[in-house]
Amino acid sequence: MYRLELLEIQLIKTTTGRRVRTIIEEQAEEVMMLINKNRNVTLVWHRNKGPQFIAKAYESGIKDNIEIPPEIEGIKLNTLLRRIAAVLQEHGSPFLKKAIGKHSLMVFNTAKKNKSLKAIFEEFKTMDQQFNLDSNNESV
Amino acid sequence: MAWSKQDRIITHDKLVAMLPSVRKHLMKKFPSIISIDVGIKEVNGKLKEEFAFRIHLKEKKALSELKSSEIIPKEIKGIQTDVHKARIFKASGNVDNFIPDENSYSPLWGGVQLKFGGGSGTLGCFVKVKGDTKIHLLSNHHVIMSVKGKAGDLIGHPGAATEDCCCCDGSSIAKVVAGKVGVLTPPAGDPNIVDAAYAILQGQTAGDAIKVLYTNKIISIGPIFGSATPVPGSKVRKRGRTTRYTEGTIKSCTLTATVTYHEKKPEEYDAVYSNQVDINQDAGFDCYLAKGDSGSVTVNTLNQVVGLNFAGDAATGTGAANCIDDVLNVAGWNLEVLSSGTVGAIPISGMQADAIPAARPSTFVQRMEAKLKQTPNGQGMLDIINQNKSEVLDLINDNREVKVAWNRYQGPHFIGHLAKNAREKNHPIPKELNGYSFQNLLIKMSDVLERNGSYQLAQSIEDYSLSVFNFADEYNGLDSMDNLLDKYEFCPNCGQMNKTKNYA
Repeated sequence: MYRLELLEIQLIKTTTGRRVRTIIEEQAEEVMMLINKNRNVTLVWHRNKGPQFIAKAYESGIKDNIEIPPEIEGIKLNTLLRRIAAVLQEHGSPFLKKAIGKHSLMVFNTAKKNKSLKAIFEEFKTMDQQFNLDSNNESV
Repeated sequence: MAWSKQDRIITHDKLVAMLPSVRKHLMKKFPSIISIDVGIKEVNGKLKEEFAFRIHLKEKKALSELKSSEIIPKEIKGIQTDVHKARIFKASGNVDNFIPDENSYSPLWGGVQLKFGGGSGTLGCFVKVKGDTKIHLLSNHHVIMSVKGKAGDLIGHPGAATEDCCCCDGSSIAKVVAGKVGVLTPPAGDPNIVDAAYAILQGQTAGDAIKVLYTNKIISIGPIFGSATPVPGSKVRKRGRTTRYTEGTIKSCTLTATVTYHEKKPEEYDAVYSNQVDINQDAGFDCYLAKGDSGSVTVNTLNQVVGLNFAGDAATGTGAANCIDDVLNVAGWNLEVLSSGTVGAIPISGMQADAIPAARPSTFVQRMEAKLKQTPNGQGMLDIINQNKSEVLDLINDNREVKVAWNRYQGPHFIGHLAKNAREKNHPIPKELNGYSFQNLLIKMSDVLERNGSYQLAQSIEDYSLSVFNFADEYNGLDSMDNLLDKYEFCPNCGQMNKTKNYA
């Protein structure tokens, strides 16, 4: 949990990051439950190297010069994301399905564009500046 | 075509009865005529609702270049003439534009790949000898026998046949029984009319090492209900391993077709076939047949086999087929095409006789294709779409998992709204239907198509799915495509589509 808290600290430094955290918080419990308890989701998660990508993602958010590999044992990151989105929307609640329909494209594009969580956090800072979002308030 | 089938049969039979005297009269008077048949008149490439005596010339010249004695009359015995340049059909040729279906199917379906020696073709349909119960597959002679083939040879699917034994890979599926093909100089009384062969499926004879399962269906077409005589003007379709599913219209059943089997040795292997079925591809299809589709069958709207496809003309995209009645009865074979039930008793997917419903809203797709062709980016996208669309349509129509996903996630409804928006600009494109967003649909379809499709399709999905998701997210009617195509740069080297501009 210590690693997660470090990442969360980075995330909430920006308004964009806080919005993302809200979305994550709304879905995290159900997603974790499906990954752990739903056989179809568990299989997809493990077969597509989910735990390995997560481990690398954690490292890339805490240490410098660590990148999320684009591919692990023949599975691309975007392939994992696409397949896990498909199985989660199939087996999750209508609320989760709706969230996937609404936010998955942002997740895919962000993962494709950035090589690490640190880079993603930097992009959130850029987005705050681009849309004139004050880090303490929602907008200037 | 609103022209009734009964009217066409009556008129066609009447004109065919006149054909010998018309041929005798005209071919004597005009030595430039290669052949004459009875067919549907064409004007500017479109089929009309009337018959004509079709005159095939070696070379078609402008009227101004002809002497009055060389001009073919516009009418013969009250029937219009229709002058064409004679085509040379080929049973071989290039197929650069298509990705063949080389997948393995078990049970066997009509429309799948067969392999013999170095060549590939298509399994047409399943037949049996009348009075017998053993099941055979039907294809062309040049597909499953070729020059050196003989009865007893093994046929493979999808790869080449291996020797039968209990521990071999079992790609052998059938043994050739008999075949017949046209020759350069046919003997008197035995004109070239078929290029056909049939083989008995393994597992029905004592001593067969493997048992081959089959289903009396053709991929993308469905269950087959025996055979019927072809009728000009009828809508037909076929499924071959190269061009997969295509639709067409029968132009003539009395075509004289010159077929080249070996381009470098025409003097040995050319053959002229009489009474062949001439088929035009319908709008939306580049061609009806291409190399590798040989051996597929042409079926009518009642899913009855009417022809055995064997050659195509690359220049026009048209195809030639043996009349199925000739195939089944040649050389005393006495075959019949298997039937899955009573024709006409239950409508096949709601089709009416002689009217094939559009596989998709044609206006929307045609307009989108026209938009894509206008730019290099769009053409790149269109090439990828064309490489995969046949397989995707096959999977949506025939694969249960894909079909269920497509329907459950509101695929037909989304397409309907897109098509309506193309016709009526003010019609909104819904973001969500019955709890499913368009992105939900695309994510689900990318998953099921990847798992159920070929390697080629899976690779395309891996490479391009994100681009498709982004494109769909920003699509807002056909008019928005100009901006979108400008925004996504298509890399001709790696094939990736990258967003190059951000629009406010």
